[in-house]
Amino acid sequence: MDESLGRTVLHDWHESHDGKMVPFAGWRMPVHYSTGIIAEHLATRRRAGLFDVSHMGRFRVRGPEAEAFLQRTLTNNAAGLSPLEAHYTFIANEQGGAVDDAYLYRLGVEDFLLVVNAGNRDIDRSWLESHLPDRGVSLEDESEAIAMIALQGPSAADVLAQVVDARVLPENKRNRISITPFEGGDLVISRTGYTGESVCFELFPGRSAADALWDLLVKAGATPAGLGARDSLRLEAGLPLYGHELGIGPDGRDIPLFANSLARFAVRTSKAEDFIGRSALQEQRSEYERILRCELKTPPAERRLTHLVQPLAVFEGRRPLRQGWRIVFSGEEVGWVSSGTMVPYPIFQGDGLMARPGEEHAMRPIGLALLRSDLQPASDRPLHVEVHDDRGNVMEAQIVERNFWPVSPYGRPFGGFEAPADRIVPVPLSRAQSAALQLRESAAENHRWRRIDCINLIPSENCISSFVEELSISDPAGRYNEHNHLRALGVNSQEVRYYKGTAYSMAKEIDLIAALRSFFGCRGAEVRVISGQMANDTVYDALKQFRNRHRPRRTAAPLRRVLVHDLNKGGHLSAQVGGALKNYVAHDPQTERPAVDHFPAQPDNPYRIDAEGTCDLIRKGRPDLVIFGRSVILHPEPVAEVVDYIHREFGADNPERPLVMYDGAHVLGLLGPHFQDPIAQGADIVTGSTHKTFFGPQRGVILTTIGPGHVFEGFWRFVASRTFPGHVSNHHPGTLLGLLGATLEMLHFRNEYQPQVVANARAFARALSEAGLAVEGDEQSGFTDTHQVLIRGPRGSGNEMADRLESGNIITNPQAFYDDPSFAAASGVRMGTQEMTRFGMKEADFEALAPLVAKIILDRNSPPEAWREEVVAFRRNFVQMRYHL
Amino acid sequence: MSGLRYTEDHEWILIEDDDVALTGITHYAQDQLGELVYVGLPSVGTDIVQGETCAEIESVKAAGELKMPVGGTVLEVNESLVDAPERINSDPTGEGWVVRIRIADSSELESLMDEEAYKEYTKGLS
Repeated sequence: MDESLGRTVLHDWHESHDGKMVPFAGWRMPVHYSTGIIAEHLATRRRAGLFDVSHMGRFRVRGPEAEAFLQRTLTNNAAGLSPLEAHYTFIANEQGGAVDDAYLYRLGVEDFLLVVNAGNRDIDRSWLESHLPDRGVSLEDESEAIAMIALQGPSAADVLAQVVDARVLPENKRNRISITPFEGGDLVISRTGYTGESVCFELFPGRSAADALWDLLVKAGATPAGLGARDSLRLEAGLPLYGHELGIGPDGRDIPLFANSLARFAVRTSKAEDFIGRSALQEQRSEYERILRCELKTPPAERRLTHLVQPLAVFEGRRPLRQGWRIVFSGEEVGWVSSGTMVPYPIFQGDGLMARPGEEHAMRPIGLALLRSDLQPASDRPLHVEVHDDRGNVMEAQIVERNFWPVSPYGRPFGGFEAPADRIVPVPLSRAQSAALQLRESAAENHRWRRIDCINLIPSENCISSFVEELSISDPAGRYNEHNHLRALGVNSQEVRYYKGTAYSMAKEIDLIAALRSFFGCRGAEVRVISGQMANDTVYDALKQFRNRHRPRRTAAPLRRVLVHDLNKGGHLSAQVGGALKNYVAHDPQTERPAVDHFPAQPDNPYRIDAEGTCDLIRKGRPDLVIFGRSVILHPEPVAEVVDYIHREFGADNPERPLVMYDGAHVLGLLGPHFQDPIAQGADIVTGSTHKTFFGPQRGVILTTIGPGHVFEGFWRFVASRTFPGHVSNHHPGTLLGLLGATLEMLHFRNEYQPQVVANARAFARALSEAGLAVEGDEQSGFTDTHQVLIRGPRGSGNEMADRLESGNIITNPQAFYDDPSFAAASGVRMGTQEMTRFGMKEADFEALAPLVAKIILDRNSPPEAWREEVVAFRRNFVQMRYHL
Repeated sequence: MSGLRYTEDHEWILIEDDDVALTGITHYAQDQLGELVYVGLPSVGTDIVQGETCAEIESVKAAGELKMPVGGTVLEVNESLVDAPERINSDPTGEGWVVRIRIADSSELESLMDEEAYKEYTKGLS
């Protein structure tokens, strides 16, 4: 082989480990090892693949002008990266085509690493150098000085944690970076990759440390994989490759960057600074968006975007697709295969989210195609095309949405299109009646099972007393009671009721507000929201209205910035951009991402908020809204400290200060002197759901300290109007009546129930720990201050633990912790003591339950069903509800 | 003539009985291609001249082909390769045979290499 080929620092390792060495972009690289491409691809999807990618070009860009230089020469928003963040980007030419695609890693304020394709390293360097300003930026080629190793796949974090301390891994999110000492130098660890895997790392050791790092990763269980698997993995994930989906097309012209859907995220929209290719790219973007909306009528040949990259799949056939093959639709040539291969995919075992890849696999041909831009697949139906190979053979193929679903932890092959759902066929009355009877019986059976056979430990559920049940299904359950306050009628006028016959419901609604004021010490309550999620949504909506109160006749601006708990640190969807916050938060003009900050955790305890760090974030970000409270909650949150700070920093009476909200969904029934009293601590708003630790039927509430004359008085009026007519017309007066009954129960039994729930949780946590289970939280402080107890198993075992418990009639839910890649990879189980406390369990009873829980989880020699009888017998001691009227 | 004979394109041919022969690709060829995932076989009865493509043999990365070592008619194809192309990797000159042919003109065999010559030939390639 040509001696002029480059050799990476790991070359000799590859050669001595059966690497099949081939020339690639000027380098001598392993295309596969003796394992073979198929096994290497599968090892990455099932466990962890290890790739030497040191042939890629690495430029270090440093200096006070580095950011400005990268803003000019790259299409993505380098200024939007904080230190230790990375993103995909393009080096565009003036025509809006690719000089190259690249990944940019911001290591410090004035320190960037730019990784480019091996084959374009020299071109990229000359291009970048030709745009270097006279001073303020240094551009160095560090491709030799730094090696680059990719570690990709579901087990990648576990493998890496055997080599470096798990605590130094970057935060559990894509595009985060950490730097740690390794073998006498710095090791840059980046949560990035080119395989579609959600658990992915690219490692940048110094040249002299690369061998040691590689060896340790192999010993820790990573499977070395060559360029062959790297290509089939990226192709399956639908990621573009220069020379195929980017660069010069077969017609000799630039493929426009927006032919690739990734351009949406890798080309910035910021108007402020110019960058190379900007005007061409703006035109491409506008055309791209019109194509997606099916608004573009220009014939494809006259468009800038004549073709778009689309995934191609073959379901019947075994022949790999190849670059250059023609695509024909209805007898017309409509594009070409830009990349093609045949990929293995594991056959999954089990169902749904929890299915796992088995040891069996199958193969299927896939590819990427540049397809005429007037042809689009829809998510519910494929576009059938013909592929014509270079010899005139024709095969059937489909243009699909994607070939790989990056479900964490195990990505799935795209398996075809959905079948239409079944419908119920009309049947004669006699059969309908017997079906109804069966339904009643099965419902009664389920009721009995959950109430007397199961130990229910889900912390977000409870049972209502028969008193509350009766109220909830009494006549108002079928009625309306629309009402609101019309200011035009006068400040103290009665609310307008839009239905007659509702005087009773109206009166009880007022009683409920009074009862809630007594229980929580709040000034007001909005009780018509029918869930906790709706309560939150209504608050966001009202705050948006309030912030826009001086902007009539204009589109309402979203909230500038919000401070919430990160989803993976216990945050709930009702306070996430992916959930209820979606329509209410602005995009940060700098980062072009939703303007959301996350509470920092104390360095030694992810379950406690760092109050000082929080105040610092509030000072810098000046959010419109701060949302305390989460669905994994072990401790009180520092409401008083943060409220004090906000009142000092902004002024308590400043209507532009952040609104402080406490989402008490989980702990509503624990609020007060025995856990935390956010109302007394100065939160403006407390929202909650009424059926977790509180004794109510399933509803929501919005509680407030805002009253007449308060700086947010206007906001509170918007809460009422955004509830009705904003979010509800029928607010379920039946369960509202039930909630009144439940609040009376809470008022009466608070001082017995609340301390018992927490004492039980602490006793349970301690006993579980003594029984051999790993309990999350700080042992010194009793593990928990709430009803919640969290146990941790081996990585990803949460669902299996919860399944075992379910088979033994103990009902819990799997819980993903802060260091888990996704819900499907949950490592733990979340439990709560509130429901069983209500059925009379005390500390000693939870201490007796703990060893049973531990046995069901840990004893692998017996099926979990073996303990069901014991569990049922245990439960039968606690079937009488307590704390009820 | 006995034993396998080889072409420069890495096919082998084994004379079974007068003018009937088996053919396939060599160990060297399968090693270059890597794990095979597809074999496209010709129809039985097809006449193919020496050096023309007879079957397509492909791996994830590369598309290869089997060319006719000598001209002739396809008598039989190894159907088992359709579902198990990896047989060519594991046993290229045995279970991994590709087609059985009737040789049209035995004199074409003279252009092929014997085992030793082929060995020398592949040594020069690496």
